[in-house]
Amino acid sequence: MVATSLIDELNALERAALAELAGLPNEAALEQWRIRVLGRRGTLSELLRGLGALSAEERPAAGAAANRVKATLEAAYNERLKALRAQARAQELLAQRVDVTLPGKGLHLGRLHPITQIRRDIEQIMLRLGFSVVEGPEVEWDLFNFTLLNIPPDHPARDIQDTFYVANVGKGARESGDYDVVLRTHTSPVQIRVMQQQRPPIRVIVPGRVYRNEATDASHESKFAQVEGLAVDESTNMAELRGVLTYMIRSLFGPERQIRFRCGYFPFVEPGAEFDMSCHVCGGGGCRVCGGDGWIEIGGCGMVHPQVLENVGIDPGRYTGWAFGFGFERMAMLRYGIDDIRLFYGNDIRFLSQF
Amino acid sequence: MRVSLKWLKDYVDVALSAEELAQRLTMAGIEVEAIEHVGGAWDKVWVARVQRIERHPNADRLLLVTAEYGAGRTIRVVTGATNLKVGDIVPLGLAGTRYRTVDRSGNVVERVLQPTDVRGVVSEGMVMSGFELGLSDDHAGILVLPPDTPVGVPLAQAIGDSIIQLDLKGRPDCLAMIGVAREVAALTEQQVRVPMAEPRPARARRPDEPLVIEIEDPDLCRRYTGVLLKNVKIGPSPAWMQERLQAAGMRPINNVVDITNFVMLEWGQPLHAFDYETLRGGKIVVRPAREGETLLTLAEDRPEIRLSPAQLVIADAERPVALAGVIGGAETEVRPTTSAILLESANFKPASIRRTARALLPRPTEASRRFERGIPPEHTLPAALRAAQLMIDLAGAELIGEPVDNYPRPDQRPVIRLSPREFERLLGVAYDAATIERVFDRLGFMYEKPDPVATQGDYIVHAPVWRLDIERPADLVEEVARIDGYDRIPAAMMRGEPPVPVPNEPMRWEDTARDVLAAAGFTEVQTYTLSSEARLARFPHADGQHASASLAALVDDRIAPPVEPVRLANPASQDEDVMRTSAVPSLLETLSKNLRYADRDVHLFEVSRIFIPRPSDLPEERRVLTAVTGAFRTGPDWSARLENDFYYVKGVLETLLERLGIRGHGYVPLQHPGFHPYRAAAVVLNHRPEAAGKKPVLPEEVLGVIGEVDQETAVAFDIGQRCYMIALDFDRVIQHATRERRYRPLPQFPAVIEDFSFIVSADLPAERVVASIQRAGAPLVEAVTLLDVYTGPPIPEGAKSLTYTVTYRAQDHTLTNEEVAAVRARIIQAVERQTGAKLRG
Repeated sequence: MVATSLIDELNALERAALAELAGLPNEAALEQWRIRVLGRRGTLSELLRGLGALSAEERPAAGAAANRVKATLEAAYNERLKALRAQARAQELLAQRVDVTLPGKGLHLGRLHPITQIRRDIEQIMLRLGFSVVEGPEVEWDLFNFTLLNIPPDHPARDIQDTFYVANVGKGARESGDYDVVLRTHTSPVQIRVMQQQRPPIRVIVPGRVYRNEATDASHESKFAQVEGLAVDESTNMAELRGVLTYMIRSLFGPERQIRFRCGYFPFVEPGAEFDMSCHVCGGGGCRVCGGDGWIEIGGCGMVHPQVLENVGIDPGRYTGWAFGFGFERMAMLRYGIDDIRLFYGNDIRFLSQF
Repeated sequence: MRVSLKWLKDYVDVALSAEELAQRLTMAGIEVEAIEHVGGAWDKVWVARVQRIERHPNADRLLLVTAEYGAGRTIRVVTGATNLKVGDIVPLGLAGTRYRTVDRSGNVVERVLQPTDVRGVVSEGMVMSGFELGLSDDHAGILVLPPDTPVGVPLAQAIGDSIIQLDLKGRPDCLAMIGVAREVAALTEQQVRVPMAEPRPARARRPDEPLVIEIEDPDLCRRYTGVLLKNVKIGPSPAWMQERLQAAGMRPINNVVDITNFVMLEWGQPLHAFDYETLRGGKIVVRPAREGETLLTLAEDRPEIRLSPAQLVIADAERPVALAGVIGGAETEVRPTTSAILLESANFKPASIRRTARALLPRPTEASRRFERGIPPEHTLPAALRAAQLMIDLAGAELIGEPVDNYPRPDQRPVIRLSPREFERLLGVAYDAATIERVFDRLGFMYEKPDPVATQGDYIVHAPVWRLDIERPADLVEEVARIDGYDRIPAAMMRGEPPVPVPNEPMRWEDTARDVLAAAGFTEVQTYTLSSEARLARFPHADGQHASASLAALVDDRIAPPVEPVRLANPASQDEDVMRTSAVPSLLETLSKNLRYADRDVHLFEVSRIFIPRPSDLPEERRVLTAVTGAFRTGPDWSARLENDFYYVKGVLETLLERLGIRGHGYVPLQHPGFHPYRAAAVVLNHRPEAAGKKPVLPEEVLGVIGEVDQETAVAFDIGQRCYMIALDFDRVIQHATRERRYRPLPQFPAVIEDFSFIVSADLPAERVVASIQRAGAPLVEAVTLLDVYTGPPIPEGAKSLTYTVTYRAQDHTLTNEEVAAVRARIIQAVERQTGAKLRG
């Protein structure tokens, strides 16, 4: 045998094997090919045995050719193996494909009532300012709901809030037709309870349900939820009240909101104010939500009336206090664009699951 | 209070529009509810003079009216009205005028006027009635305007007006035109014109014209001013007065009554005119009514009133003639023939008037509304004199003698010492002397300037007689701030040291429970706390008929105590006349409603209050947690829904109690008429499974209940599917809840895990097997987890197979086979001996 013919054969083998390799359909055929070409008894090994028959001069060239062919075929094999595996994996994955537009499965989360959500938000905001959350009874003494709040019996301000009276708690109906227990008409009686039990400095908020004996419509509920804020200290004032309300309203409705005070009458504050927020929908330019004047009425506030401080044994000459109150429903209606207050207690799951 | 802008201008110059004025008033604390523009729709209506009236050539009942509405502008219109004569000043509507009319079905509708051919004569416009203009209900004739009305100007300019409706919560002084005028004057820096009258008596009273006024109790009647007027000619009041009364919402009656009403609206001081001849003994006695007395009043709804000593009356020498400050009596009322009048201008105690009005009449009168809010006693005399002068001017009356003014204890308005520092103390911003004094001047408050020695720099302010609400320095601070404008008050952060915040643990626990339940797929509801006994009774109480009647009663005590509920004295409806003693019916009602909207995942809960009366105290307001589910929930596949069952709901409860840190509790089979007899359990504390049901449940150990709602009960709530409920006394749960968590080191050594299947009697509580495993395997048993419950072949009838996975672990070494074998043997032996189980091969 001569080297040139061996080299030719090696080259021919390389060409044929590479051509065959390119057409192999799968890993099994590739394995067959490997055994046939690169195996211990494969065609390449057969040819290499011919190296021994060559002369010492011819051997290096033929050996080099043989090594090159072997390396080429092994590399081609590895590459082809990788390609076939990738192809097989791709097909496998294709078979696992999902329709990403089909809906997800099975998880059903419950929701918190929108009033709970807004209450928590307000509690969190006020907590940062050092306010604690307190509660009080919904069935309340007339004394706390009215009298100690500077609304004595027969005071006409009692007409502002139509009251549910309780027939069978306390003394019940007296000869005068009065009752000494009511369903609280506001959360303000808790101011009295707190100021009787704590000494200044006081900072509390009072969320809770209140009751009014009024007809209901889209914007009036006879049972609703309020929050009350109260601060009493040696040096607090209406500017601080305004600061706190501004901070709270901006936290809830955005940093551009402005607070406006209007003079307002509540027997348990003096000076008293109603507070409005610049409309969060139109920014104050006027729209349907704010009724066109750019301001939205939020609630009432003011400096705790000196008579109220005296009623709970706090010296109005030394201490000042302020209070505010507003309805949660109104806040939630503004925040979510709800147009009917009755939805809050209708408890329709189609409504509740929107929040 | 309805404030006519036109009328208001009698007392103060107003340059602002109604809208601008309303804005100023609202900002200053006089809230404006609405503004009404009288004549807002009159853009095509003019003031015209009737020039000629002719018969319609083709219709007997129609007239042709030629009217002139400005120099050289005349128009001929057809009318059916018969009240016109040449020279009358009338409203004339041109084409395009919107007017009211009644259509064929009798409905009031608005039409637009078009030139029309009426039987051969073209009518170019119309002369208009008060009804057509929207001014009154008078259809009968054309509105004839006062002769001095300028012709040729738009009608709105001549008689248009704006009515500002005030929503007065405080500020009783603004229930009077003069009060509003004072406020407007202060806000706009104008002068107020108060109409003071000083009528001269025509002559002195003769002995046969007695006028004696007695006040029995000066606390109830602080002042009574009586004025005798004679030769009164009853007739209509002048148009300007009628117009003002109508603008204020009152109906003109006759000159005498109208004057009393007019002065009441002007001064805020109610007046009453008695027919002097009907008063017996020429005497007025202000006294409590006597038992058994009655009064025939002028009230439309309740003329005859039976009186009691709680009510203050005006009596003559013999009998009550009026309910003081509330309403007059029929027998002494002014009639068309009346010629002598006793005019009453008095001041009564607000509380007394309020009580009387509420007790006897369905709604307050104009007089009682004002008295109960408080009226300055100083006003009785000027109001009486003003009315007397009007009677003289408008009803031809003569004043007989000086007024009799019984004023036992003259009013002492407070003198208020105000430190200028009070502004900064209350408002957080200082006000200078010029600002303070300018506001006092604008309001007409009398004051003495600060004197560094005599008053230590304080103002001395005399509360004005017309502002009974001004009593203290804080009131003056508000006055200055509101007139100056609340805008001046800046926003500041709180400077004081904050108190240590006190966490509200019960509310935090409530919120924890809400979060757990929401994560478990339950939606929070908030139901009404008002209910009725009938609604509450739809969920039954324990009845003593069941095997575990006493346990059922203990459960009722937690979630629905059988007590007389807190009852409202004035419920809005029969469905809401008590405070609920249980939240269970509320939740079942809500579940029932929502099952109409969704076929799965109707999982609802509420953390709320129930109200349990206590002797001689306010009721206990107990927190309860109530959760309900319908029969189905979302399943693992798209279309499939899974059926809920007891174990699913129990899983939710277990998760909840775990998050609340409740330990040592258990479930005791419960028979309660509200629940399925074999699918309900009381949730109890201090549970001892190994006691095999022999340990009695103590009342204080019961937390609540879990179970499938009894089918009949569900049907009572209109629920047609299986439903489940958790109901807990949440206050009691909170007492045992804890947030404490102790860290346990992660295990260092491997666990050994084995499964055991035991065949036990079908009615054996599985917890007993678990308890046996845990006790026998202690301390190596780390966990016992249920793998499977199986009944059916090859398990014999009446038995079940329980398979548990048991995890063994030692804290300090790897367990050996020998150790595991030993504990395994102990477990098998213990379970078999203690529960009658057989280990399954």
